[in-house]
Amino acid sequence: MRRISRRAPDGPTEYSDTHLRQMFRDELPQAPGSPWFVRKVMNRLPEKRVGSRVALPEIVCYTLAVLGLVCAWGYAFTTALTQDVTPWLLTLSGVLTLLTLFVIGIFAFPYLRRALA
Amino acid sequence: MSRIEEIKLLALCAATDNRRAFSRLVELHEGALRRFLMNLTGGNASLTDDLAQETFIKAWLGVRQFQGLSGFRTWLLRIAVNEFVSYRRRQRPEPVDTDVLVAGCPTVDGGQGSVADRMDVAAALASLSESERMVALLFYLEDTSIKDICKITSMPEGTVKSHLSRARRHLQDFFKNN
Repeated sequence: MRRISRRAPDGPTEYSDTHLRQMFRDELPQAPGSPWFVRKVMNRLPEKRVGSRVALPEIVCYTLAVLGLVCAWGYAFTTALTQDVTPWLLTLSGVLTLLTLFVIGIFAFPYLRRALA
Repeated sequence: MSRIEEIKLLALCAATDNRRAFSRLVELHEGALRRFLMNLTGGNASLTDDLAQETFIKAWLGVRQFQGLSGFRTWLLRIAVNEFVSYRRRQRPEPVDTDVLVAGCPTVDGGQGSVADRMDVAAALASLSESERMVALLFYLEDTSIKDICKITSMPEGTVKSHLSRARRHLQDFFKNN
């Protein structure tokens, strides 16, 4: 590649942006090589990015929600076995199924995927 | 690296905290980022490394907030500029020592310019104000568009253009007179 001269040509010609850009690229110093730079950065990265203040209430809420879900489902099955199937019971079963899929899809699956990664 | 591969690495970092993907991103961008900071800090190599490390750590912590509206490089430069500005607020600005800036440092393209040429360009850069130097480095060295410079420096377009115009005039005068 032909190098553009640092000096502008004589006469009225101004230093153009191209000329200045080439000078910056050719003549400004580069940072000295640091083979350990990437390792230093990686060693300084925090282990977990999720703050504990957020994570703890989240875990408590999810645990309570899952416990409630299990209890409600147990109640629905017990009622179905001991009593007749009623519209109320069918509705409850449907809602519980959707709620379970929702919890698994929205919360549990990303946690699981992150833990396995 | 293609834009798609970069997005894939960013997605891995954001969704699964994948450190290997982030390490690859650091490898890809550290050279350009350190080159920019090296010239912005006036050749202070240890400060350059500190700021670059802080920049990458902030990027790791905030990768989920990265919306991808601008490129990852632009976003990194923005963090780096913020880090530099924060550092400057904590410290008294030191005059740029051009001898330190060029001593022992290879040029960007592998050293075509003589030491005298490098001194001249470094001295010209040092004679600019900090904002002008920042804008000039982004525009001439990093090939960043005016629009992206506005995002990186959080300056309005008019301010960026006027800084750039002043820097250009200053550089032209410097080279004509030296």
